[in-house]
Amino acid sequence: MTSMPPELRGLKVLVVEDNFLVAELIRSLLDECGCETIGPAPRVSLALALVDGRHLDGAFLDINLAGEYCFPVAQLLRERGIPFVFLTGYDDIEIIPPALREVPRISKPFDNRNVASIVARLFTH
Amino acid sequence: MSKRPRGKELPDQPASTVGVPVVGIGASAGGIGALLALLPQFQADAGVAFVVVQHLDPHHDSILPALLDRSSDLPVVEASDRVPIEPDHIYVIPPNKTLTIHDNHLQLGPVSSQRGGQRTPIDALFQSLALAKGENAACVILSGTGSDGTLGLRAIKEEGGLTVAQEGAEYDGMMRSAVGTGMVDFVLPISEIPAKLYDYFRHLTSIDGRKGPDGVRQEAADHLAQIATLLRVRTGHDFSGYKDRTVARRIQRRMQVLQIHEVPDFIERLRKEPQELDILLQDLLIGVTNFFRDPLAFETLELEVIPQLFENKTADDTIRVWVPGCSTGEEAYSIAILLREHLPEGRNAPRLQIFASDIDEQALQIARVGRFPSTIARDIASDRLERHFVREDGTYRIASDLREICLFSMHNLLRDAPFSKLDLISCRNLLIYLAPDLQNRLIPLFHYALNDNGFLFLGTSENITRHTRLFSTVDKAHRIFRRRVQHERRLPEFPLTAPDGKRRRLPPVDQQAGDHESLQSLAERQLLDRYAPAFVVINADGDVLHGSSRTGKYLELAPGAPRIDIFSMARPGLRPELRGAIHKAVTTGQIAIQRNIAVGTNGGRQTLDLIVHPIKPTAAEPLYMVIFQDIGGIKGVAEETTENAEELESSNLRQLEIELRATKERLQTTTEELESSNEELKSGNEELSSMNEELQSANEELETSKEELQSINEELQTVNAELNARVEELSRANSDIANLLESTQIATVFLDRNLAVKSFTPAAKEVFRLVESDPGRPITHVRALFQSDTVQEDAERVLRTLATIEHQVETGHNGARYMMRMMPYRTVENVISGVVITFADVTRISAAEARISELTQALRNRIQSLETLLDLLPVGIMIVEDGRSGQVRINRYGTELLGEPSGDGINPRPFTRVRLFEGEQEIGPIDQPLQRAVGSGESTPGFEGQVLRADGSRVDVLMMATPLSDDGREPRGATAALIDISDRKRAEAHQQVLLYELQHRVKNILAVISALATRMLSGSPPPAEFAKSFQGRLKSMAGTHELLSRSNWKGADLRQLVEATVRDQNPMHDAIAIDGPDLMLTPNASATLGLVLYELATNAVKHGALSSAGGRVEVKWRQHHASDARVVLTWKELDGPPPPGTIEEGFGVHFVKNAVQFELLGSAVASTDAAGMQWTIEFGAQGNVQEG
Repeated sequence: MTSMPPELRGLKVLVVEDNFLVAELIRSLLDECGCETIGPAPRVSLALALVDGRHLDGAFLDINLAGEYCFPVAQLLRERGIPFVFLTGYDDIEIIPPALREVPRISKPFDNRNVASIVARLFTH
Repeated sequence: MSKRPRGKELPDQPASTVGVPVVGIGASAGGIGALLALLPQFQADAGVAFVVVQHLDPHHDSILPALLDRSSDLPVVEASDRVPIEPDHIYVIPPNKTLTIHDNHLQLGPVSSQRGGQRTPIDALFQSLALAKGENAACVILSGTGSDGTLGLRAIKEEGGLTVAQEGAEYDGMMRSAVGTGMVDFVLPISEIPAKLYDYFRHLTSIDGRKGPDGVRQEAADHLAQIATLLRVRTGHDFSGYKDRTVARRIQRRMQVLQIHEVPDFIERLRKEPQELDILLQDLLIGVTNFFRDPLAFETLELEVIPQLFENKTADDTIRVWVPGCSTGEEAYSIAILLREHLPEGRNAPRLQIFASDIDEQALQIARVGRFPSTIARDIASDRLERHFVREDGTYRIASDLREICLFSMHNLLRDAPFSKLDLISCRNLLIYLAPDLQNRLIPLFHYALNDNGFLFLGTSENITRHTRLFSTVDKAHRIFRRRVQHERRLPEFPLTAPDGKRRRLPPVDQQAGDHESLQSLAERQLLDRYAPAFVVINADGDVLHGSSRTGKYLELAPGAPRIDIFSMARPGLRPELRGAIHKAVTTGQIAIQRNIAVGTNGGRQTLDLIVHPIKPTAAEPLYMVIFQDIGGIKGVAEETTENAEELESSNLRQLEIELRATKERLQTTTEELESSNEELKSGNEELSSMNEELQSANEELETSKEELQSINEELQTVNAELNARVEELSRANSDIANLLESTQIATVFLDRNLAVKSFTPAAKEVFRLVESDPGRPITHVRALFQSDTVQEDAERVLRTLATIEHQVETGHNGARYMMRMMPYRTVENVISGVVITFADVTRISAAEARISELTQALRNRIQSLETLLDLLPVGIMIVEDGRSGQVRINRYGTELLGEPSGDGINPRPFTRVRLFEGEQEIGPIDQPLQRAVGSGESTPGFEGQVLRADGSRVDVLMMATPLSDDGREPRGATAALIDISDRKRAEAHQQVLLYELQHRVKNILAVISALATRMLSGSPPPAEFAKSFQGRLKSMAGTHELLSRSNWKGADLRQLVEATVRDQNPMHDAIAIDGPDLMLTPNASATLGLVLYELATNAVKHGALSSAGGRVEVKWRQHHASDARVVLTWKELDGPPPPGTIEEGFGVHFVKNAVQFELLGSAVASTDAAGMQWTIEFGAQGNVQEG
């Protein structure tokens, strides 16, 4: 905890993940960094509702949400200028729409430490 | 003869008596080769000069002198005019000139340009040489055609020179012509000619001193009689009467030629080699004569005699002249010229006939031709020359009208009966050869032959001597005489020569035989001569053929020309009886006897019986023996006078009357016979005259033809050479053809128009039973080795239609098959002269043809199978048979693949219609695999790309291409296979998707496990507990995954899920009751519920009903089928230890509540009652339960 850079404290980070255990893990990792977890949202519709009208510093998006792709959420975040990363088990880039292929991806299963570094690197501006 | 002085100027240097000895050499065709062989042999210091005349082309310069100079030691110069002849030089004639020699000088003259005439430069040279050099000259005739040189050679010989001809000449025409005159001394091969010439001149020098003042050697004259005897024995010619000097000179010349020094040696030679006598005879007969020899004499003849000959002559008369010993005809033609000039103009002119005779046939031949050397111009006035001669290049030829007058015939004055009823006899310079005895006997002969007042013209040195009673002198100086009329005409004793005129025909051996006559025949002859009656043997015409002795009493020679018929010879009184008896014997063939005939004979009368006895000799002609049988002796006239006068008178009267009557009758018969025979003779005579005229004109034509023939002969020589070459070519071609026929082994039979075999090739014996003797036999007679019924028919059809017939035939014995071809035989002139049949052996070809058709059928079947296969194959096949055609064939599947109508099957189409893409890139036509295979032979094992279909869509294809080539050479075409791989591509894409899904799930699960582990480790449990509970959860998750993968991730059945997670957790299966409808959960829902149920079961085992025996759990679920269908699952624990009052919120409870809520968007509510713990889990069907 002490090692976390103090600027991460209070960052609002949206988590979109349909698996309860994984969502809980990310939240707890964000908690450790002092970030405020928004969500987690297990469905696209729920996620969109969370994004709407709220200030966000960043987002973790699971691509496949119970058979739904999260790209509408990503599109919205992009429009809002909110940085985000994809969480995915897919190695295939093909399923990602070309416009979103530059978005950084965290391949599942991820190293718990990556979460903090991603937040620090991508969500602090 | 020759009046030329010889050997007088310089007796001690005879070779130069008339200058240098000169050898004339004449050559024509083939002459240059002969000259080149001859000239090198001449010695450089022999003192002899040579003059060469070669026939040259008048229009070209000659290189002959240069040519010859190289081959000779002597200087060779081209002759020029008026150059003195020097010894040891060779002079060569220049072209288009004549070369002659005059007094040791060369002389060049122009050549007559007249066409058609013959050029005879060799004659010209030789003649001039003969005159200039006499015996100091020699001539050589080398190779050449024609007869040039012959006249000249004769002149040389006449003047005593040496004559030589080349033996084995390339062209021997000139040489043969010369030899034909008998005037050539030697015929020698070239290598022997020089030696002979030098010997001749050397001998001439050596004997020169031994000649008498007249040039005749005395010893020759001494032995003359001996030689004359030899000559008479051998040849029948008696030269004993010839004047010694002439004969001696000829003998001397022969000796010179033979190089014999002594006369006895020569006689010895004559004995050993009788043919030398023949040659000597030829020499003796050489006549020398000129035109108008002794001009004054001829002038006198012309003035005094010729006009008189024409006196009282009319057109019906003929002036007859005889020129005996005419030699080559100059004398005869001279007289002919005179007569022709005095022949009156107009119809009254009498005919002229000159008989010219000689015993030398070769001389006569020359006379008949009438061609004379140009030297005659010396003897004949130029106007005469112009009028009576035709100039023919170097020679003069007597005009044809004169030749018609002159008739030349072989006649021996001394032996043959003379011509008669002549107006003139010109016999000049013949008598001088004869001894006075013979001369004396010839004059009466001439007397006999001449008409009354006929003229005799003799040579200047001849005379009628003592016969002045027979002839009167007209001109004494010029020896012209006239026959005296009054004297009785009488034929002299004949023949005039030696006692035995027939000796020539009777070989000496007969004479020998006479000496050994048997005694018997001697006795018989004596008996016949003395005691038998006289007889003669006659033929049917009465000619006396044989007579016994003592016929003089009955027969006597009649006056006038001697006649041998018995009637003219019979004594008075005998003739009528004789005629009657012979007539009777001839007509009846029986013996005729006339009795008691009184014949007036020498001084009395003889009574005799006349017997005519036919005898049959072996000869076909019947002969008759007339026998005079005397009755009593001769009664003298005085005897008769003693008889009674009256009786005598009456008896005489009666006798005379009888005789007169008989005579009258006989006279009548005789007259009639005479008249008829006269008639016959007249008509015969007319026929003969006309025949003679015809013959003369024919002769004239022949002369002309002969000249033409000579020039044709020259051409023929050339043609012959060409023909020889042709023949050689032909025989080579023939041999080629023979070899060709032999090598081709094509049996060939040639038939003529009658279908008889003309010839055949050796191979034909395998088709027909032909043998070498078969040519000439009809082909149908030759057995064929095949079915030959139609051969004749076919051959006739070929001859009729001129079409070729072909069909196969098979021989029976070895099964060989032949292609028989019959066609017309065309000669080079395209004339059909038969049929050619050829047989080509096609046995192997037929077998091969059968095999080929078999293979073709198999191939066709295979192709058909392949075509079918191609159409059936689910692979597109493209075939380019020929790269240059730009056409490709595509099978049915291929066309379908390209989206084209498949109706046109596998027909070729242009290449470029196939469009091929690799990704978005279109591959150009030349880079496509098929075209690359065609173009560079590069094969493509597998190319994946897309083809554009006709409808614009694309199909994924795999393409393979391989070049087609024959014998590994340049590719001629290619094949390509086109496989539709769109299905596979789709499958691959699907597979990829599945793979990604699997990966996604696996990674998700790993993420979940990772999160689970993190969560469980957050409370820092003891490792053993963690391991246990972590393993249990993983095992539960694995069970759920097992179910899911069993259904291929479609989902999991809720019952099975419960059983897998709950029952497997507890070995007491009965304690767990499961009830609910079949419900298929989605994979996500399955995973969530699986872990939820595991947590519930774990808690039950740990703290709830299943923690003690007897405890039970009921798991029930139901589904509400409404618009918002929901699933409700109840977990009810029964009969377990009493539950605690509150539910401890551990990981399990927390997880169950949150997971259901978060993941299933449902709710999980726990409650407790007395029976135990109870959970109610509710969630919506949508997204969690598989529909349907």
